[in-house]
Amino acid sequence: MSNIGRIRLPGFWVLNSVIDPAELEALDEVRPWLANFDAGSTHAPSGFVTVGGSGFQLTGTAHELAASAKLSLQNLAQISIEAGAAIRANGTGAADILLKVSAGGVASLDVSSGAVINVAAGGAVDVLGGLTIKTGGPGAFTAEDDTTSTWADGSFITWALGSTASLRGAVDIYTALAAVKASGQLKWLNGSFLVGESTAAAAWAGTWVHSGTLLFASGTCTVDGTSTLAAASGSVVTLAGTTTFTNSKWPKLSPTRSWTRRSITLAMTTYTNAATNGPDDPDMWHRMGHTAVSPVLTTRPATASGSKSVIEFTNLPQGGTMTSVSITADGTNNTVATLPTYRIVRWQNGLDGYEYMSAVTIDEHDVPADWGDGERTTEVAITAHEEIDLAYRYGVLVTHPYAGATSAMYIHDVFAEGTADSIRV
Amino acid sequence: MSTTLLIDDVSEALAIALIPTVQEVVPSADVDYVYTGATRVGLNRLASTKRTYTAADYAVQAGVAVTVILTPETDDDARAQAIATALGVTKAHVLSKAICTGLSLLGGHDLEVGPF
Repeated sequence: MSNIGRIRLPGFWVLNSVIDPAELEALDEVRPWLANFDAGSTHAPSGFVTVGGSGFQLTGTAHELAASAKLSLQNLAQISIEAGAAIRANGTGAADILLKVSAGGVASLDVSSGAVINVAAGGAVDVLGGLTIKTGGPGAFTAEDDTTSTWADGSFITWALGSTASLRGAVDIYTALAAVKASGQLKWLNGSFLVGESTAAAAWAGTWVHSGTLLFASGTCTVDGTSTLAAASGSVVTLAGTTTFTNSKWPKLSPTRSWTRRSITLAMTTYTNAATNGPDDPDMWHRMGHTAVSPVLTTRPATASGSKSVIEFTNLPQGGTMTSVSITADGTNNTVATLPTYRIVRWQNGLDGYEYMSAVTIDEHDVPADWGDGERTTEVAITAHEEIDLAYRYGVLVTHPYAGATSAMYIHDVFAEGTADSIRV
Repeated sequence: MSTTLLIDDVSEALAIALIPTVQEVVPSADVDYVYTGATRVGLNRLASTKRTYTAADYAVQAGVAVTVILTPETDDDARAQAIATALGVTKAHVLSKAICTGLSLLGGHDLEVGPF
């Protein structure tokens, strides 16, 4: 519908001109179409009334879109709210929502106490800028029962210094890893608990520093074939229960320990310069020492060869290595034709002979003339069967000195030395 | 759209005499503007539904013919065409009668004049 045109062009309402009734009809015809801006009027145009130019300006506070009326904005149309203005969703009391621009020109959507922004199922809120839960309210973020919060692949959550994440419910971690970064810390406070179920696993590639109590209440602690469980210098490992070494393994010692075993236990001696089988007149026996009151072994002066004795070690370390045996002895007289000799032996029973562990070693006095100048220690090196197997018995086979009326000897000390790298039975 | 048509000399004289009066409102008005305005005044009568016109009302009248090139307003051109179509006459005859009748009415004469 075009605009209402003039009945006559400008200038043609001239004095004395004949006014045709049709012209007066035309003037009257449009009167119902005119808005009564005094008393008010109601209109239902069959086409749009298009207003451009400077448009409408409404003053006063009584303007309204009537109940069920609708205002549609077409392509590129706008309702612009200027500084100081607002569109109000007028809730009950003061529970309003204002879409406004402040006097300073800041646009905002203000949701008052009691008002709410609803996003229905299928709807969305896309935020490309910042979303801040403000202090002052203080603001709060709540996800109700059965809702889901998803952080998509590549997204980030940052908890700034001084913030606290308080988790009073369950946290389920699937394929994502919780990484504690350099200088970060995961702290379990008093009364807290870390639980791993029966098929759970923990992999720690770095250093685990434990200052409290590590309790294995049930289950198994396993160190796999490529790993090492080490207690550092100064530490204490206390095993109050049963400690089991499986797989035929023995507790190892590192570094290898040195050991010393002393003995003057007589396992065997000959009698009467090896002339009889005893029990009278042994060729070696215990007595009180001549320089101190502690026990020593002494031999019968022998005029001929044949007297022998075996001094046995009874508490050697199973699996250890014997490296030497030392014998400290001196003569009862300055003169002896033949010095004693020593040989380290092992045997299992009285049926089999000795297995020799060293060469025959002459007493350290070296020459018979030295026999009376005080005790000397003879060290015998082990050259065979170094590993101690307590299926055997070990000892020093002493061939007594002889050929002299007073060619006896005192054995003050016998000790075996060696090393051990494990504790065995 | 311009249309060439004929009016009579009496109508021409009325148009020229009307120019000063029209210029009191439209200082730039000339005789062509007067013809255009008179066309509307004439069509206000000829298009009225209060009267019944026939093709006979558009029979050419005798008179001293004056050629006029008229550019009617869009709505007036459409009204003239509608009358021409309805009565089976030419638009030029409708506009001729409209100008001449309009000038007659503007001159204070309740007469229907033309076409020429």
